[in-house]
Amino acid sequence: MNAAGSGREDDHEYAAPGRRRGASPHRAVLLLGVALVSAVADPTRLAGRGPAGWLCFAAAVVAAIWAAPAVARRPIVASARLGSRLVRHRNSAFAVGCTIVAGFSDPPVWLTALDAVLLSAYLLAVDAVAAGPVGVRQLRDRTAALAAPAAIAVVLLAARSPVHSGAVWGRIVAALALAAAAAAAGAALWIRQAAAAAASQPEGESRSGSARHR
Amino acid sequence: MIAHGGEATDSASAAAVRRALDGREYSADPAAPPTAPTRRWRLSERALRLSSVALTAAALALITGRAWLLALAAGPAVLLALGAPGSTRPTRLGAQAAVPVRRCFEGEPITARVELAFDGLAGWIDPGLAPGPGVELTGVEVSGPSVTFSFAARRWGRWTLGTADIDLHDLGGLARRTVRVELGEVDVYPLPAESGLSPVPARLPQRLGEHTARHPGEGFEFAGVHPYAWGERQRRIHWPSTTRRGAIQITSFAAERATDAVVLLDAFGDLRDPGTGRSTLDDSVRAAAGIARAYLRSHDRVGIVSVGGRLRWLQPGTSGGHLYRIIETVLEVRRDLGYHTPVIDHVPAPALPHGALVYAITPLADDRILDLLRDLAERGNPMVVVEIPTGEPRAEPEDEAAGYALRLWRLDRQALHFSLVERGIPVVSWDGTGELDLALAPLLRSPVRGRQR
Repeated sequence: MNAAGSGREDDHEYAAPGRRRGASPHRAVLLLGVALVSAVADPTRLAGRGPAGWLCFAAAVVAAIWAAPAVARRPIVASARLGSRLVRHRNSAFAVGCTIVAGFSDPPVWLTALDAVLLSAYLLAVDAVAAGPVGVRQLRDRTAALAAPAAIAVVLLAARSPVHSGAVWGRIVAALALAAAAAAAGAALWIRQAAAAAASQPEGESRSGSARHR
Repeated sequence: MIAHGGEATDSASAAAVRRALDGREYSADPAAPPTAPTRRWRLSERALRLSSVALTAAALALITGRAWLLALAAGPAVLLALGAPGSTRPTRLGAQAAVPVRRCFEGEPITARVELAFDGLAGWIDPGLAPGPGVELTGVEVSGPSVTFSFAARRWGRWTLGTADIDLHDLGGLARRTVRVELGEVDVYPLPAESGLSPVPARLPQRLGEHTARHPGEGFEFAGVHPYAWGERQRRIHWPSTTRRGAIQITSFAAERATDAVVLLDAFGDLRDPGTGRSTLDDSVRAAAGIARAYLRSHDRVGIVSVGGRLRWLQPGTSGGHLYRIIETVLEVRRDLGYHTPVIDHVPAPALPHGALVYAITPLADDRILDLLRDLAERGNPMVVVEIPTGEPRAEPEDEAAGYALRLWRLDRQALHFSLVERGIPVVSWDGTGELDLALAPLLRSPVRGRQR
């Protein structure tokens, strides 16, 4: 069991990062949210939907302006009412809503890629604001920034690959590609963490006897 | 540049406080802390967000037959995989709170430090706090495995500092575990009202002190001259009088005595001034502390009797440390508010010495305190009523009936004051602002007299 503090460089890694002057993470998250909702609304077919389509699009943008900014509050259930919970988890509801809207459209290939990249970028940005130092480290780490687009590209290629027997095989191949990409990312991280833990542990001490903190 | 850095630090500190309080502001009556959290690991909001998006996209892909929707699940799935903590998640978690100083005066800072002890690796320590009623959270700092909470004491009393719920997130931020720590109680002493005057009763006890008595003695205050009597000291001859009268005249001095003062605190109720929001009980205890400090500085003996739902008393004593004993006697008086009327005869004689000057500090808003004042006056103790005004009721200018009611209320207060003064009990008023000396100054015109037996 650890009771003592670690070195000064590591001390502040547990703390939530302070807001840097000039940086406006909330505005960046808001812009990403508006861009995401604009992309999933399929702007290529917006002109043909008439005034109702434009009205729905405007309503979606307004909803994005309300729901997209990151909620950086402690996870405390202040009320069990559905409305209160929806307000509390509006970032998650917004991302899920965008996914559902995208699921019932059939956009061109470039737009599917844009939807997927914007969704991942939005989730990364929300984590950077709401998930404390974990989210900030993830945003600064190149692994996540490279692995997510790579996985999206692999899955999109697999989904669009011409396979026999119609769409069933396409889904299976895409699902296998998704599982393979996640497993590869997880394995890479596992190896990296194990190496880091082994390197940071002094010789002659067992792991359970002297735990260290990052 | 320095100013900008300071502003950024203040902003970050304020944001940390807001987050720890979950947006709640300081309140004199804060809400109860949330229910005790489970001690098991549970999914964090980040994990729920990523997994819900990934599962929704995968389900839609299977339902609608659009394989490209799996690409929407790819990003969150990879982020989940990257956040997997492996075997680094802590298995044991403990916390210990330390508050170096648990006694302070109003307005002074209090610091509480919580040391976390855990094995494995943690990614984030996220502290939350449900503060107690008399303290305000002013800062939260996470440094290594320790969390420091800074408070400012806002109201006197014996308060709990609060309950800290500290979330420990695993390395990837996908799961969290909460540890609850009680920060314990602190004693916040009231700031005594500024007072230096110590009016005295007409009859002082036979004890050496600093107040000038009316009878001759061995003090320093000139009292007069009298003819020489055999055995008197020659160095006290008053030569001007001796020369004028042709016979030896001796200077006589007044005796100097200490007095006994007993503060009678009315804790029958706590009323708020509708205009200023001030609490009568808060101001009463500050006035009591100010009066006690003034008399203790004059080396007098001071005691206290608190009447409310429960009778508390402290025998008169002296010395600087006695002020803290007096304050500690009434520190929990807020919990005594009730409907029971204590019998003043139950106060032991040493707590209310005969002839002691009694300061009754009261808002004069309860009939029971009037009965007690009557009993004390019949005992023969000289008494002063320090009224803590409750403020006038609000009346709309255009409401004629309210205007009449307000006028009746004022007449009732005047009648109350008149009845006390008629019994020989002077009434002074102190509203909690300004110096208490200004309120007590009229009592210096003449010694305070009790009922003549």
